[in-house]
Amino acid sequence: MKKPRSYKLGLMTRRSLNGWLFILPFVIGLIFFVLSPLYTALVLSFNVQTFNSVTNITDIEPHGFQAYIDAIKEGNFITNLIASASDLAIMVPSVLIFSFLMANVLNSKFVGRTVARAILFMPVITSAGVAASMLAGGGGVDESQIASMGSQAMNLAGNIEESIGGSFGTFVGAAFDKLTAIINGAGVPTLIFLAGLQTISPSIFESSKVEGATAWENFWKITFPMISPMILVNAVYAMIDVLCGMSNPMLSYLYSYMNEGGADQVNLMAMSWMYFLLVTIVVAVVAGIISKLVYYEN
Amino acid sequence: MEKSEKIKRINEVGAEEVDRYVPTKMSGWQKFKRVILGKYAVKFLWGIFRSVLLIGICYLVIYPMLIALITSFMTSADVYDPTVILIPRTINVDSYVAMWKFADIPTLYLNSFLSSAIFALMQMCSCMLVAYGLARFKFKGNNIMFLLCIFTLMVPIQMLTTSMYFRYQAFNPLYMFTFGEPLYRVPNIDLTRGWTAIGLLSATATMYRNGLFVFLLRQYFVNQPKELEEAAYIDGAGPFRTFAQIMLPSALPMLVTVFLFAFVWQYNDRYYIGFLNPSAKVMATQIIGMGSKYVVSVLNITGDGVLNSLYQSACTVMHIAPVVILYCFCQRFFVQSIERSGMVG
Repeated sequence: MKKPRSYKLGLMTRRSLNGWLFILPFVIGLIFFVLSPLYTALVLSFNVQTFNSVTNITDIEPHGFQAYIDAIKEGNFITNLIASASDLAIMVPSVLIFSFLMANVLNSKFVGRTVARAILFMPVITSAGVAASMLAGGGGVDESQIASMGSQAMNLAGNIEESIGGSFGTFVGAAFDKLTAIINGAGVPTLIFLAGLQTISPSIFESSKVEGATAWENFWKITFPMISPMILVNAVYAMIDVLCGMSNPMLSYLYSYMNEGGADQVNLMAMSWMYFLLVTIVVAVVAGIISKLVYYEN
Repeated sequence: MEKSEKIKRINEVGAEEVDRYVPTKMSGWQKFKRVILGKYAVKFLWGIFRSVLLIGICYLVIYPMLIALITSFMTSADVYDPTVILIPRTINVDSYVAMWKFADIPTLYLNSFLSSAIFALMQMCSCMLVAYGLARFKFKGNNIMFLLCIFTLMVPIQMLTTSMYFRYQAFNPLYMFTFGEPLYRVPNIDLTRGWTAIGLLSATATMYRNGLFVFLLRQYFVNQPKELEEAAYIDGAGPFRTFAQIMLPSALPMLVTVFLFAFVWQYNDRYYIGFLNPSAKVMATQIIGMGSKYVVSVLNITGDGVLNSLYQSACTVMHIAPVVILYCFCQRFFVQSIERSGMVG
């Protein structure tokens, strides 16, 4: 007698196959649209591409580490790297603190909470791509024209700087500039913190109140540990936002370098790859450190 | 502890219990509060602080949009007049009428809405499949795939432009990792014309910030109860049917949120469209600089920043208005979805 259903795979094998089936789109995308360009960039950073007019084929010649050495020697790379690092050091803690504060405020009950929430999450849509550059740059007008617009200037920071004047005015203007950037960057993190706050069961606070804990103790002993996984998520998000966002000094430099006539491909690729490696290392290290401090309930 | 609460508590657990738990020693801060401020004063001050903070931040958020809106309604005389700040003398829609025709806004709107909706839908579908696979199936490499998903967020897309272009202009899946001669001898597709490349990226969850969508949806699915699924399996439903009929309906608010994000980011995307489909007539690539183009080519005035800003403001408002309206309808889901997701990192 034949064994029934002998062709059937084991349960665990089937489950894992189904899993791979579900994530198949991403596997394809990862190989063809992420890893392939990354690998191409890596190879092109060690090799010079030349077009051979006889065979109509692009040849590649080995270039070694020369492009990497050139990039470090050249200076612009290091300057922009330092600018990116200082951006990171200022923006990430500010965004985290600000979004945490906002999430706490938006989580408490008050008149007009719905309106406040709607407005505060608006940067999520208005700080994206073209909308952001249109709103920030006075609608695609270049810098010199904004300066000539006088009272109609759309740049709030510039207005404040002008009206206060002096070095203090410059400082306040710069602070306002950063504040706008922080508010724009805090949209998604606030949302994620708010979600975290909503999951803390009110019964924990009730029982701690019965025990006589103060609001300060409640915050440090309950809210903070319960929210710590969100801090990890938001730190990673904020770091990526600062390091890979459109306004990052390094990326704007690379972008302008690329669009420059006669840009050296091999140097561009080398700088891109170094920056990419540094970003990955920084994000991995910071995420690793924070994840050690995270408290998991389960 | 408040009196009414105390009485309620006494009814529940008895007087002795409650008395034992009432703090006997007051801290310095508590004494200070009792004596100087009183409970209501603290609440009142906190309320004022909160209102000031919120109103200030809301103002900062709205300010650029407000200025664009106001400027767009000005006449050219108002724009030049330094005494006109914030409120135009008359409401004037000339700039809208002019830009509507000059920039061919109806076509741009149609193309933008259609392409953004289709690609946002594709991104939503691919991301939810991937997220469900990562959340609900245990297989070797599950965690690595999830980390790789986050990793795709970390790749600065601008730096890949050259190599992406290199691969996509002669796309052949079999030669994605080779260089030199064979690459040019095989039949290949030029992906840098038309919408194919963006469609492929959307369908494979590798478009702009799709890793974030996968993360959000995965968190949602991870926290759903397992029993629902198990019941469906016992009743004989396969994994795809279970996903479509059991898991998806309850995920609707989250899906709306992801769709909104994807739509808005796609609608505003200038980068991908700019190099993968440069001939596309969509808002994001066409609308920037339209105001000054109009002033130069139709009004024959060059280098007038003030006049440019008037027409460009109309463009800005027309570009942002649809997404702001969409946001107003969807933002309810926005907070709801997150509240229900029970998200824990």
